[in-house]
Amino acid sequence: MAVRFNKERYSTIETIKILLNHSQIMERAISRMDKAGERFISEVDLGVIVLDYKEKVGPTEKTRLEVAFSLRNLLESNILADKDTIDGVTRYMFQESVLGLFRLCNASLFQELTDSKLKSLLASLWRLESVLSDRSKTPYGSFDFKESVDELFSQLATLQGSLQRNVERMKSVGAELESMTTEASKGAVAFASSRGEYLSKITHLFERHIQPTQTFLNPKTRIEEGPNLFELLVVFRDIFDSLEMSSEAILISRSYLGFGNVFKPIDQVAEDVGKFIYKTRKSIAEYNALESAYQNLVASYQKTLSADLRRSKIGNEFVDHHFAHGLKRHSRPLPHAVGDSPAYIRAVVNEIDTMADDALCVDRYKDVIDGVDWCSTETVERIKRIEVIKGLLVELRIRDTVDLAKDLHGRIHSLLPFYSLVDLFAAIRIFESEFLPKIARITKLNFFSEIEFNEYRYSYRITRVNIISGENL
Amino acid sequence: MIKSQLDEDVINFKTIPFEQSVGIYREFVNGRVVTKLMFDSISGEMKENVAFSLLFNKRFEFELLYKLIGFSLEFHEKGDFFFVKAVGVNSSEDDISDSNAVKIQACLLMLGRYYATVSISIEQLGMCQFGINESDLDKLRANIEFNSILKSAGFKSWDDALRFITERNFAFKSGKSTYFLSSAGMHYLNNLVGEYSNS
Repeated sequence: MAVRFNKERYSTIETIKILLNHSQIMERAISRMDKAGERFISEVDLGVIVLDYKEKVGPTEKTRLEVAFSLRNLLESNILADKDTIDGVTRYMFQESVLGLFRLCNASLFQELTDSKLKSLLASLWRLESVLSDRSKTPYGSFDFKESVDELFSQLATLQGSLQRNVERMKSVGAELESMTTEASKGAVAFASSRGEYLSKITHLFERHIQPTQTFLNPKTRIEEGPNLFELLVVFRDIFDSLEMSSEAILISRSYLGFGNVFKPIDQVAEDVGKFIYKTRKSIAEYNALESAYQNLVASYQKTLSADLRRSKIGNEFVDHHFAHGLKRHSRPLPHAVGDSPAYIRAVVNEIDTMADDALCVDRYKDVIDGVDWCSTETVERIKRIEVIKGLLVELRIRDTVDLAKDLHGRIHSLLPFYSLVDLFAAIRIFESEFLPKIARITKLNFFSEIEFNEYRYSYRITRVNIISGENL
Repeated sequence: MIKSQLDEDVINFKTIPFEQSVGIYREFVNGRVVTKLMFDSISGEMKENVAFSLLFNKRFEFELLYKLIGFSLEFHEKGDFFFVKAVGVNSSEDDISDSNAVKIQACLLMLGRYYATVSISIEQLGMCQFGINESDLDKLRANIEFNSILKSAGFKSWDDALRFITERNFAFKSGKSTYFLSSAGMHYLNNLVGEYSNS
């Protein structure tokens, strides 16, 4: 790989941060190793992956990546467990814990638990059971006993963790089935020829990974060589109970329940995969189409899980814009009839009253208003102008309104000479920050409206005002 | 097209029954689609929708009518449904239709995806004797990923989501807790399948 002879190198934490920030590199490296069934990756392969990825990033990140993935940095920050050269090929062996971190972040990188792995885990539990129950060899309180108990809990924790991740992995089996049968669903000829191939892949997945896990987690399973997982847990609990080690006994009961919870989703996956095998070409095509569309939806959803907390609503990336585009409720024209109810008349009288008041207060302010040069753009004049508006607003009656901007616009545009958008801004600001907070509840709505100024239309967010105390300022 | 049809002999509003036209307008302004077949909950079967027939037979008249009041009448031939959209809308109004599209399509997509895994064909999702039943609803409600997506699409629950698409005629309610998709709802899923197969 392209090693730059650069003195700079990063600490372990910093290197891992860079690796995680550009997780695609390690993800590709891991899937490559898994595909080949090897625990190492050749220097050339890793180099190609890094080189490929570097195309997408800016120059600073490029340099950081070069340093982070240099052999020296990887070795010194302990990311690599080992490196060797066989037949002139240099191979990198990553720390298992580093790989584990990436498998945790991306479920599809997780390796399925195989039959033999599960059996070996069970066998070590059997061994611990024989050690703990044989009180003559390992008496209660001896070091052997204590160490075996510690060993038991660490084994159970590992088992539960890997089962949990296995289940997460299997939940994504839908996407996997889709990718396996993409070709098969496209045409009749392709279907016939590739059916055998995908069936054998699915059967492998089912028989070697899903079914063993399902059997392992089924409380009713009988195993020739010894008790099943759940029977074992009962034995352990009884041992601890008889020794009056109640907290250990409770922990065992808890993992009993925990393993039981894992069984159900696995069962569900097994059922889905079982059904898949009987599907016809048409239904596989449907399945694949919906699965792939659904993955787009999930991708849109996952964007809402990013660090940006402002984004909580799913985006429209997955939306088909040709389907019923623009469909929504439309507002119907409302009648503007003159009513004769007391409330209606009161509202009209109120409106006229307010208008008369507004006009009167302008009369009182006439001299002040005339004293300002309204066309000037000088700062001093502008400040004066805002002072005048403020003085004027103090006189205006404050009332409930569903749209503050529209209300103020309607009231002051005839009061001020050379009224402009800036005046409206000032008025709204003065109202919202100085007058209203004391007497009214201000609600910013998530709806927008428009206002017209000199042939331009401006969009703004609606503010609603409800007077709480009846007092005017 | 409308211009060439402006001939008085072709465009004839007099033959359009007033009440039916008002009914259609009400459907449209409530944001619904008008489908060819409607579920009749009394007889429990699909029936020809008179509103659709009228719209279809008097398309030029209705196109002109809605054009004159600022809407465009849209017809989806494959899905057999009509709806109207506002012409020359501003961006804030577009936001609402956009969030509607997200809601409707996310809900239909999840229903379709679920159905494709559990049944032979999604075709049955649009048949009133099959569709989604109580036990399907239980499984949908238990799916954690579906629920998170529903929430971020702006729904409270599956019931809320089903009500949303049923109100707009993308699905029909055939019993206490059974639903099936209308031709409009099925068209969305079939279109996805068609596009995938051709890609």
